[in-house]
Amino acid sequence: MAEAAATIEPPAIAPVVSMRRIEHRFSSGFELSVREWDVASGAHTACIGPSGCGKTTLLRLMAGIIEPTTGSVELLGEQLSRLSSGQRRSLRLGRVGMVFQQLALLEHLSALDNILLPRLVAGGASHPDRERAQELAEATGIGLALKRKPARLSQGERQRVAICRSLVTSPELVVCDEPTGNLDPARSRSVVELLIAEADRIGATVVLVTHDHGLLDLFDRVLDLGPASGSANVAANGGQS
Amino acid sequence: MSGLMRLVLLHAAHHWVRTLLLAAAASVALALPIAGRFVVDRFETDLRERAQTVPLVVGAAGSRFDLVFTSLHFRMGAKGTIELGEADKIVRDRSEGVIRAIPMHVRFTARGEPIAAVGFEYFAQRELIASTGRLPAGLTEVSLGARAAGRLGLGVGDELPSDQRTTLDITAPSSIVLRVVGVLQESGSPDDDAVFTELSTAWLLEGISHGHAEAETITDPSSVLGRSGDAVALSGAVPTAQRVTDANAGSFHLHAERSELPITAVLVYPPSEKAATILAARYNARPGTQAVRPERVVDELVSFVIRLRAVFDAIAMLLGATTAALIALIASLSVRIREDELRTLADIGASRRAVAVVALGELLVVGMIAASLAAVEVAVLAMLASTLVSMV
Repeated sequence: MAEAAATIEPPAIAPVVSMRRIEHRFSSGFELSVREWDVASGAHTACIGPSGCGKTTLLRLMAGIIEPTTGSVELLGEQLSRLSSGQRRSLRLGRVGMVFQQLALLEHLSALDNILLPRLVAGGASHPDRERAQELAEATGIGLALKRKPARLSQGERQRVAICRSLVTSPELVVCDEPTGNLDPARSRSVVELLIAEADRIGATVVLVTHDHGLLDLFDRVLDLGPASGSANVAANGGQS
Repeated sequence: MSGLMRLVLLHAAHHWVRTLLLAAAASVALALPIAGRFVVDRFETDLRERAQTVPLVVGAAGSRFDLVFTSLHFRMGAKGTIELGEADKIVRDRSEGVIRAIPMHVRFTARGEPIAAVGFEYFAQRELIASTGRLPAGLTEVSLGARAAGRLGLGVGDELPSDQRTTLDITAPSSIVLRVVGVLQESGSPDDDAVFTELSTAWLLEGISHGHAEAETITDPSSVLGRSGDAVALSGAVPTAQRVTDANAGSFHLHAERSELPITAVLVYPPSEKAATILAARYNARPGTQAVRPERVVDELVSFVIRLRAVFDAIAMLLGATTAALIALIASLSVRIREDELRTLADIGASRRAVAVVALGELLVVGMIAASLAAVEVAVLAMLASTLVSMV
């Protein structure tokens, strides 16, 4: 069983994510337990831990994609347990950006349409949305690849498309699940730097799951879900146990 | 365009082969029953309209369907003949008023097209006129129906050999060269598919009349069976002319009394229902002949076709249901294949409705394309209905 116990530093303003007494059990027997965890607004938090320790589950609980067996999650000031499934989806679509482990780009869409996907499923992409997508693409260096489909993009370009998609709605929280999993360390670093830089530009909070310890210096908070510590902690940068 | 519709269309466009194949299959399932109905309705209408143009047909006893279809649609069905004298008798009987009777002989073909040898009144009765050339007036002269002319690729001045009835019987009349003297204006009826000639040509094709050298000049003993005074009895081995020319036209002659010459039918136009009933009764009572009312025969046939149509409709519905089930199966497999994509949409926050629209939108696109294709298919088949019916 993985356990995350928090050392609370009282946030100056209301936390973006607040998890209390979370217990989540899968039918496979796997359990994730989070006693108390807050993510401060504007913080860059990394979640580390070995494969299967529950990092992805933690992110999915945080984003309201799955509901905990017990406990409460407050996301962007909303108590998720009080929201219907539709309301949780709506909250996610408008205020949370997501980068998935396998990037999850839609192969039949161009890079531009992939970036605009949250807008498209919300009803349609306006001209300002397209301008915003273009701007993000330029900033991340894929401005010339927007018409190409994912099959014709390099892995690095695909990563950038996924990052742009997570930011196109100017979300308050960006949740990333090992977005650099397939990249070499140098490339991983540049992608995460880019993500943090773009998130900072819009003032978004970043929570990123990674198993790459070399990236942790880019974050000001680290949540270690590793079993070695006996209990995981949120610590200041460089102080993870 | 809404974002969701854009996603749906982009997915359909990305998998355009699959989309088109599904749409094509669905369109056929949709169009077939409708087009089938069009064709059958057209068939029925054409049959009825044609049948209404002739009140009574007199011919040899046998199949009433064959008699009607041979006489009105030039189908090679009727085998038996009656004598030309019957037509004369019908005309001469004025007890119920003036009766028009048009003899016809439909038994031969030329390059597969039916040769309709008709009394000259036929053209006036059917209001058939030549668009080029003229109507047939002499031995071996033919005027082609518009569609037949198109199929044969012939025009005025061309020659058309009649089809040899058999190649195994050397005593059977050989092929005769017919001369095209006209092409008829299109009438939108079976007349467009026939090769018209006058009755004497049919008897030439029957072998009842022929042309050969003057009997007195024939000296070959194998061709002469005997002589008696001026009379010469010739054997069947005497070569007969296959082509009528100015030089040999005078040598053509009949070997039968005019009244005994064979015809396959007489189209009868009685002045009243009573006259038609009397005539029909008379010929139906006489052995070897029959008189039928084409409208009734067609009614009988159509009622059979309608029963058959119900079967076709059931088959079409089964086909449609099978196609729908296959498309539903393919759609469900497609949803399964797109599971990751749909989960991504849900994870980024797309509503259940949006995910459903994206998942099932493919069916909508396939349905829309299928409906458009089906409309085109039905329109094309409706336009071709006449041609299809004429081919039946």
